[in-house]
Amino acid sequence: MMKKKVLSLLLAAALTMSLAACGEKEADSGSSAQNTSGDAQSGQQTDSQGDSGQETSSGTEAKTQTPGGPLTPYDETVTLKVALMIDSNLNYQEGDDISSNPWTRGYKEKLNIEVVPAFTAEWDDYFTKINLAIVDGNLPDVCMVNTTQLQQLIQADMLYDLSEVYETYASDRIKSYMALEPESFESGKSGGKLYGIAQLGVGPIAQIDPVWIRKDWKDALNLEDPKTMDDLVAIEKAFQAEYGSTGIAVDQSLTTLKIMAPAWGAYPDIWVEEPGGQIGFGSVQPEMKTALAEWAKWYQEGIINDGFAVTNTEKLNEDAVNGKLGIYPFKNWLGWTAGTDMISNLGREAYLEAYAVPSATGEKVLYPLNCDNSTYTVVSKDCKNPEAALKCINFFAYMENEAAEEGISQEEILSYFEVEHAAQIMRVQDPNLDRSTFLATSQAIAAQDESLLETRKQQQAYADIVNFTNDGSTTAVGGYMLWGPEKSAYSMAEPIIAAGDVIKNKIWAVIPDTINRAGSTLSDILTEGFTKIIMGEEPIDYFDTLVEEWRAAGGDEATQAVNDMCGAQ
Amino acid sequence: MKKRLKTEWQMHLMLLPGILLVFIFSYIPLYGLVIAFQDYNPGRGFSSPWVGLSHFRYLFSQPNFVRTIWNSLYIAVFKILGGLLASVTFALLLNEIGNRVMKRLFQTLIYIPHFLSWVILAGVMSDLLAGDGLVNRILEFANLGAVNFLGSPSVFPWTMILSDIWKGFGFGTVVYLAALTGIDPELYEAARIDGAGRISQTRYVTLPMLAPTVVLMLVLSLGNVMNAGFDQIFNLYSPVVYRTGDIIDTYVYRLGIMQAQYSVGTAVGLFKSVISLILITSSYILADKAANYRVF
Repeated sequence: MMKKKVLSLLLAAALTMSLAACGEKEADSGSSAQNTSGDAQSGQQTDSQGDSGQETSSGTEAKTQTPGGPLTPYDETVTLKVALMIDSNLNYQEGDDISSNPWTRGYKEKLNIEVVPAFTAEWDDYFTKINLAIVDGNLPDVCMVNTTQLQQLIQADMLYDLSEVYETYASDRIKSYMALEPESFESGKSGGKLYGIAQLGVGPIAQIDPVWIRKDWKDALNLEDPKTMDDLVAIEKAFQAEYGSTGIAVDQSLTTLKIMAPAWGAYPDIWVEEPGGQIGFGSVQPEMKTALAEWAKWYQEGIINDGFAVTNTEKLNEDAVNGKLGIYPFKNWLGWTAGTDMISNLGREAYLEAYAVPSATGEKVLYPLNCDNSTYTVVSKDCKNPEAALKCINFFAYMENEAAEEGISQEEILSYFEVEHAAQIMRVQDPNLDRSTFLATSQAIAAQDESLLETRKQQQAYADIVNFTNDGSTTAVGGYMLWGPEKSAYSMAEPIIAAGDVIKNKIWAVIPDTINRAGSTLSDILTEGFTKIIMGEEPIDYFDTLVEEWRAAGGDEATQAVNDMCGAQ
Repeated sequence: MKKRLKTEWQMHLMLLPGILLVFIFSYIPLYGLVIAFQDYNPGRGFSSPWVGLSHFRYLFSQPNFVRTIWNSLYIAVFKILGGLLASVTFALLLNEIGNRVMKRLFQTLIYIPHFLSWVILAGVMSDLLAGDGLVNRILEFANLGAVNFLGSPSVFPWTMILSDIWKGFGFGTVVYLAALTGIDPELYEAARIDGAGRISQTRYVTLPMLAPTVVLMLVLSLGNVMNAGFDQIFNLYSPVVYRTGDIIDTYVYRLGIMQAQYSVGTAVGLFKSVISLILITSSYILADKAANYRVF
């Protein structure tokens, strides 16, 4: 470990130094020619942006050039060294790559910002490389970091204080996104100063996990939609009798069972309010015991697969593709991981339909919600034009929304979003994106009118639905299972979100240090114990012993930290 | 000394690259151990705040950490002993094969698994050893009842030990075979004249002559006694077997590395090194006493 680290540090240091030297030279030589085109556009741009553009010019200090409003191009080319993320699964147009693609050309033409890669990495390596850059003390101008790294960088005083820059340059749209997720936005701050711009997620609708049921089996057996947990078990029994299903899908992480836990009023893995007003961990509440007792019974009766303790998600997907699974509670993207192969292997109708978690107690089922922001865009303290990063972020939102209204052709917009990941480092996602996309697409499907589609995401969803309905296309089944008009993940989730039948994790965006420190050891104790209870190796009452163990191992400390944090807010 | 340096300087020159490598990559990084006693922040580097022994205290306050030490020792010791037994046995057996082609063939066959990665083998193993896998089908066919190789806490460590021995004993066998060919044939001749059969020859000539190599291999492997095989266990374990199968490395992986907790990770590494040092030193003394084996 250590050996490698030192060597790679030396290498990284050597590399970044040489890169830095090259970058500066280029910036100087390229700047002079761009003046004329920049001016012409800037006038137009400030008009369309209205007030926000006006305010900014007064706020800027003695800089060499006036940076203008959220999307005003620079007079002279500004170079931004960005740690970019690559995705080897994605194909660029002929001749394009990560350093030259629609986004980089867009930044250059519309904003006069030259984005050059400080380094590139795949998702798996990206944060490791950022770690190296941090150790090295040579952070790129702009990069994306996770929560831990944000805190480390703030402590090490390596980040640019973006408070003013954000106020001045963030477009109204970005600010409106942040207004939807104020906790996430605040989590990028420290001591009242903004250091990290939360990238946000695609919204709560994506977190409602359905219970997937195989359509062809259910139709063939003429089964009713499950209304209660007993109905669901009856469906599984029918599948086992008729098709030899090996049981409701469960894997060693217990994820699929935990998706169904709200049926018993249990909320594993999130922090909830206890009856006394205190905040407690969902996994150690009495409701969890009830759920575990039921699951232990299921295991005995063969309702769940008996080898679950050594099964992982890949194995589950294999089973699904081999026609051994009929009920599979999972995330909304199951259509892409298992759906595609199920269709090609088992037939056109062998896809899965989404159902809400049926209640086991007769009470209404509430769905757990977590904060879906996990990354931040940060700017290095040494960056000369921090506002350029903000402009790029604005540009992403602009392309996603206003671009279509302002007469930029659909084709051009599509060319951008085909390589969306190239802009991943500098973007803020619309927390309402998936919901609004679903609603708009549903309207268009109902009216059979493509002209109702406004964004490229809506078009994509629409195309998937049409392609799957008409030709049973295997590449479209994932989209159909997500966006489809009925019994899709989102058609099931939409009424739940609309009615607000959700329960929010009390820890939102900011995680207390104590919990970070414990790593996964606290939840490991519970997973291990829950598995034993379900498999009947320990009686149900072992739950109480387990909770004691969990508390002694740091659970009490964590609970205290969460209560302190929430009390302080 | 000076004289030897003069006459044998070429030898010393050849030693230099090795010493340099060890110095650069093993001695200089020792300085990094300070982060075990700091609250390490990569941005601040080695000037992070000092926290004394708090990371060690934290580790040992974790109820499950001590159990992972025992699991590591248990699994590692049986892997070492079993591997030794298997390789010596196979070396002796192979040595008795007269046909050169057959001998090479078997030697190659048992050596091959050594070159496969655990990531690949783990995939193969979890298929073969699954509840409805090939091995359990055969067991059921023979009316022996299915065994939960990977999901039962009492069986899991032995699945790890046996599969690791299977994977690794080919390497040991090659080493012992080499040692066997080095035994003076005159000794066997003399034994035969004294009327010793195959068994007696092995007992009184082969094994005593093999002992120094065995001791050497044992001493070398004792340095690894705290490494019970991260690759193997990480790819095969699951929460249900944590009780007996969770080793220090897998535990620390879940505790620290996933959360980028450099200090805790380093603390464990230091702890492991200290234990290993004690074990190596004591085994070296033992080897010196029992088998007269010395390096210096």
